[in-house]
Amino acid sequence: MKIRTMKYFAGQGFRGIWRNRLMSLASIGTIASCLMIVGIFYCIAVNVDYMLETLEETTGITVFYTEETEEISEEKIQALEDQLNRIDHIEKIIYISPEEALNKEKEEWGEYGSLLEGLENDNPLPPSFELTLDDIRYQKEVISQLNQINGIEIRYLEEETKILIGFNNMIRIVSLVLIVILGFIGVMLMDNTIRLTVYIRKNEINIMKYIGATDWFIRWPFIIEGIIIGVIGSILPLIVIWFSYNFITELIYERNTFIQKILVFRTTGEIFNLLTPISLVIGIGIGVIGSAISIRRYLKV
Amino acid sequence: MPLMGGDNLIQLHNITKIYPNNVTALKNISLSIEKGEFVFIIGSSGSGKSTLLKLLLKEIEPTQGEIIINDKNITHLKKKEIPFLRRKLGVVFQDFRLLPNKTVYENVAFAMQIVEATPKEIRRNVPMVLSMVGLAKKARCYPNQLSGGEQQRTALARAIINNPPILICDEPTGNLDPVTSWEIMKLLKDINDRGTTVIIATHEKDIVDKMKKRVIEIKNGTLIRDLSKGGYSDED
Repeated sequence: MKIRTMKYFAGQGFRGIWRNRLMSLASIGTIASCLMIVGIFYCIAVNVDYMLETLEETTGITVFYTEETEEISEEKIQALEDQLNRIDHIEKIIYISPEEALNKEKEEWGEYGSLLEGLENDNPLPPSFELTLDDIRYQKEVISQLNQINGIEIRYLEEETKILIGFNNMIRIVSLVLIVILGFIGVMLMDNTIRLTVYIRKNEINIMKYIGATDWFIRWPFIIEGIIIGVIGSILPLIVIWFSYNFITELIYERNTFIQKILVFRTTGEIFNLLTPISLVIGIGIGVIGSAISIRRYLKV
Repeated sequence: MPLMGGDNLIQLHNITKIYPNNVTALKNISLSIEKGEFVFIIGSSGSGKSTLLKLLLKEIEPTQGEIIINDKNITHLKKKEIPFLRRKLGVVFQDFRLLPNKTVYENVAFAMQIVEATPKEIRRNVPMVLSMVGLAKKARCYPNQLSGGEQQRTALARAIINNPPILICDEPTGNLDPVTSWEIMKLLKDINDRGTTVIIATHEKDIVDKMKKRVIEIKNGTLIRDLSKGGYSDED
């Protein structure tokens, strides 16, 4: 395609939007609200996923012998580690000696850490293993296998994990359903918008066909119109989400330091790395499919 | 079978067209038109002359028979090839069919844009053709600022701007007064003199009689007369 022809198509595309600004605005609005919802759900889904990931890493599963610390021999610890190694879905096994455990406690207690001073010689903390799973969804399976090992205690966050997994699944299903429904509505509205432009230009198309314009020559301006509407419709919600995401995460971080331990958020940059291309693809997709459907009907001369 | 004939630009072989509603528009029409000819196709409305033009323009396909234009069988042309056939056929309609939001100049230039001519070619050819049809001074006018004759001249300029070997006119003077009609006919004659084959569907007796050109008459879908230098009716 020649550059001047492309210029012609782009000019016609913009003109089409302007000539028919009300419907164009409606289409932009639909695509934008569709992508706004997609964006919000994306933010939630990504962060829930991230929280799960963090949970996997920070809490995981802790196992230790219930016997008195002095009675646990090196061999016993080694034996337990071997047993743990045979269980599937355990990604990482970290041995924590009583000394390390105490230091960690002190750190977590922060300014009150000094209260733990003096326990070094009579450390009540047992040696333990911290297990990280490759996927927290397998927690139940792993726990049931661990239960078969005698003489150990297992600690893990069951409720929290369950809630997060459930929430995560729900978010995924809801966002998928919403994307499909809104995408469909978007395509229909787009079809209407372009149909109006095509209708307005019906005579022009007719004349073009008699003069010998190829179908693609006729189609391109409308497809470009769809692309422009799609791009505008996807950039608008991106801007809104950018500012609100920044605002909300900062607000939560500022107001409540306690909540920070559970609620960890992806940075705005991380969110937009993927949200931007997703939005553009969906927006342009809706725009182009909508135009393509409505031109088809008018190209039969 | 003489499918490929020396100077025959257009050949129809036993063309029959039956529309989906079972109306037979054309029955067994065979004819050939040579390069450089000036041909009138006459007949009352409903005779089938519009169907004939539509067949040439590939708007519809014949039910039977074959159409050959420029040694190419276009009977069953692929959809993708139709635009390229139409570039060889300039078309003029009774109702002009100009784009109302474009000036005379733009209307003509538009036909060149479609075939992806360079801006340089457009700037050179459009004024040339406009002065040929006598509209050099009206280049910046919009169609609604023009008289009927001027609008038809614009349509003519658009039809010939890409130098098609064939010019097809469907009732080109149908909306014009007699004086203006003659001006348009004179222009068509000029275009024909430059080598373009001109085919005119009309039912205007006066014009056909005075031009003394080839006349093909269609009645009820049948070719009833094909005379060189004929008149509108047999009595002449």
